[in-house]
Amino acid sequence: MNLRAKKTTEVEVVTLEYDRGTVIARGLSYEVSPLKWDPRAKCLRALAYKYSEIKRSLELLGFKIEDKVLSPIKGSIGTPNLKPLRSYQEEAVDAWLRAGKRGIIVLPTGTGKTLIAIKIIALLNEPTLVVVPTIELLEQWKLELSRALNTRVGVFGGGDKELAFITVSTYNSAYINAEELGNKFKLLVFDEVHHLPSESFRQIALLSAAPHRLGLTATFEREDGRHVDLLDLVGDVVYRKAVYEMKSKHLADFDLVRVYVELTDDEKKQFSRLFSLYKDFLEKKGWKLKSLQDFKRLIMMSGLSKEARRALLAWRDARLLALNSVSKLDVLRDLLRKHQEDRIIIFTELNKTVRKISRELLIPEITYKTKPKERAIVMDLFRKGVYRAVVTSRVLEEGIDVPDANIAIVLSGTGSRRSFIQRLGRILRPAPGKRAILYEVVAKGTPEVAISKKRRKGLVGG
Amino acid sequence: MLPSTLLRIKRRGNKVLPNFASLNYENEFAASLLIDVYEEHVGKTIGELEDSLEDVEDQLEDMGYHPKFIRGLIELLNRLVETEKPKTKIPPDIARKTVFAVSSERGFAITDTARIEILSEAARRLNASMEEVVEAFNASYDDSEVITKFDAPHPIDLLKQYNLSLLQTLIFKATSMSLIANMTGSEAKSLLRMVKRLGLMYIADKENGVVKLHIDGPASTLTLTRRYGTRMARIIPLILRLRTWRIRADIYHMKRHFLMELDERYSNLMPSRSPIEETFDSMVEEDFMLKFKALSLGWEITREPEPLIAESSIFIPDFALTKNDLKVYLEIMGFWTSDYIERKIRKLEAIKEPIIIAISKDLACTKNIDETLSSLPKSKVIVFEGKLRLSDVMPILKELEQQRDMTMPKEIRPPPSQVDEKAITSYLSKIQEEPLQNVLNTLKTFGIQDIQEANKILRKHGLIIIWKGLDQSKAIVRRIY
Repeated sequence: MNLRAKKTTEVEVVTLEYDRGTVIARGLSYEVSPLKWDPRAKCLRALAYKYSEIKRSLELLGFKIEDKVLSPIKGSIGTPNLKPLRSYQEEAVDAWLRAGKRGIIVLPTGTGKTLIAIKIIALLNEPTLVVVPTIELLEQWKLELSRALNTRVGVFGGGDKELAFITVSTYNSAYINAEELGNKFKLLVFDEVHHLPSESFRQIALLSAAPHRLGLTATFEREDGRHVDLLDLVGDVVYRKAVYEMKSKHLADFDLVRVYVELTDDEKKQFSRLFSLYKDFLEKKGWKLKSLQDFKRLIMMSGLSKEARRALLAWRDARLLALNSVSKLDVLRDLLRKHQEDRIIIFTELNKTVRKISRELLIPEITYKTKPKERAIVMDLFRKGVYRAVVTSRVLEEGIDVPDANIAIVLSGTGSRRSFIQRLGRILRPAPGKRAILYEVVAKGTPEVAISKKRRKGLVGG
Repeated sequence: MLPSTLLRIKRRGNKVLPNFASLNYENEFAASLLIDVYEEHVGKTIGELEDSLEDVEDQLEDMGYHPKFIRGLIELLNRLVETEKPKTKIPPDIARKTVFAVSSERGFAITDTARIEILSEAARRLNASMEEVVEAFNASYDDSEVITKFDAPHPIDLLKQYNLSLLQTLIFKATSMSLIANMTGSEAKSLLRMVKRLGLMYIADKENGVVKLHIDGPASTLTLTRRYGTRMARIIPLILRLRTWRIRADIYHMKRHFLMELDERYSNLMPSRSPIEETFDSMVEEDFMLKFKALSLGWEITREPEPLIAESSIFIPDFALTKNDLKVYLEIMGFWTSDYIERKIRKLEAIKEPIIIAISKDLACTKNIDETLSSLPKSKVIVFEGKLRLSDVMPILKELEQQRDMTMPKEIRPPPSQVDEKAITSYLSKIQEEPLQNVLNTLKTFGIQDIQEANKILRKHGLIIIWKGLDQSKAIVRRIY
């Protein structure tokens, strides 16, 4: 289905347009990689993120390009008002620029990745979309960007839908509206870029024509191995420093304290009954759960056989028992008594437990159900010191700025190394003479001991 | 639509289907039991409802119902609930703020005494009694919201809604979907309008004489993606309004590809809605149809007839006019430019069906009206002013009738089924080796016209053609078994 042949003396003109997350080319009489023939629209088409590559190929082949792809948001930033960068931050900025304005910077939490990004945004002065994982981070980035760049910052997500020269969005909103956002920006900044490779979120990168891309993270590697895809989506790792290289120089010193609690006699009896039900099932099947994959398989099976379901429920109940042990709340009370002057974040896995602690000990809670407005109030009062503690399930894991928190108490948790480091990062904001403590409260004689060991592995060597 | 964790499917090989709930007594029982729980909790809190539901869930699971089925019904019922924050003397958020602040100052409620002290200090600051503070503090948690209204569905309707949601949840995982359906023009129009509005794309062709729409999104030809699954799911309710339909969806689930095929036999498991009604795009059309019908001239008129396919996209003419075996389509154009008309005519030519185009001079959006109109093929185009009159159309219809009369009777050729297989078999069975030309000549008398067809038949009878150079007259046919 080639278009009419052009006179050979004429330079062929190729029109490039943006169409809902893709780039379409008209005026070409054959396929030029990565463009592919699309029989539905009778034109050549490629995913929008190939835009720069397409342009390069066509120019190389000597075509004249009529480029209608980008329709960037107009504007510019004000006179920047930036804090001076530390030496490693300067190095990171340079490395990214040298790599062709693409790539990922890996630095531990609390080392000022935001500042690096703001510096880059100021240098480029291009329409920029910053993508962040949570509503808290949305607010936080908006505040810092508008302050440092002297410009009005648009918020796209969490109910707001305002596009500006500099816009901040959540991964969720950016994914849902990828078609609409895809040709309006020249620079994409992905905060906590390890989220990007998931099946949905990667589309933010795939359906965007923005040529310049920056990724930030403290934990580049994903357990599913998908971080390798980031090379294609954002670029290579251009700068990297690990926790142990940074400790005590730029971060607060911290101690890790593990507190073991004994289950009550009643709890112990129940626990061993439930746990052996689960173990017996595995033994009967000859299974050894070594990885998350094995566990997923059990969960899948539980949809099929009653026996597997019973085993899974027993495991769940045993775990709940260990997580919610009365002794743990006693330990929590002791720790609260001990730290009368400190700022404390309490982590526990289950929303039910969060609520229980909030109601009984009168501590503000934040769960995934907490509305954005209420969340903002709680965080604000916590920062101001009106609230001295917050209890939460998982939402605070990612990079939220809590500068004065110096005690974290982990009452329970999953075995994920990343989330543990993230939590740890919460309390590692540099403050003169500050010493942070992370308490991990583990029930003795339960699988939690093993989970806790797995978590700690993430600390050695970053 | 349900959360994907509540999806229930049936798999067989590479086929997948939603695990629909039968509309039987057992399922109706579970549905009505749950509905009762909700009805009983009007005026009570969400927390209380959740506690009761946990009990009923356990009971139903013990009876052998699948927990995902029960959870799915609960999910749908939750959407029918309206809630309200409980009324308290002190605004809950103020009580909350004060209590938490006092608690922070005093080292939290780590003992019962500490708790009472905190609450009474909060009460002092708010100028209220401790009971009022506790009441307002408790009300600040969302599980203390009170259910004000619950529109109880009929249990069977709940099950039907569940089945539709289940199907839609499976379609979330679709990478593309085909709809094969006999549609009226109105039905096709509203479907395609929806496809367009959702930012999807389609390609049309025919399968066994029935229109097939292959639906996916802009990026689908470039990468395997489930991005458009949620949007495709939103088309389903529209499809269920068709009388006959068949869908075929490519499902990507648990890192495997599955095929889901479903047809109108499943319609009764899902909510039924009134069929899609026909609508008029303009007064001109409505007026023309009334006049045409009033003056029956032996011609029948159908509004928005079956969809036609033009270069793999769908075209629905405004009218079909039929008389015995004669059929001609009529398309009345709205606002137009010369560019638009040219494109339209080119598109219509691709259909290869007789189409009359009626163009209103009043609705031109172009300067060179006469120039454009005079360049159009006269045989197919009617130009009118004001309303389209019967006298504008009739001359063309009459001409068509005359043309038809002249070409009748058509040349009659024997249909291929009349080839005498027996005679061919008996002739070929005798051949060991024979010049190709002789064989072809004989086969011609049996109705086999070209060499390709002849070759196929020879192979079937164990014979092959042996070429000696390019000259056909030197080639021979030889038996190989």
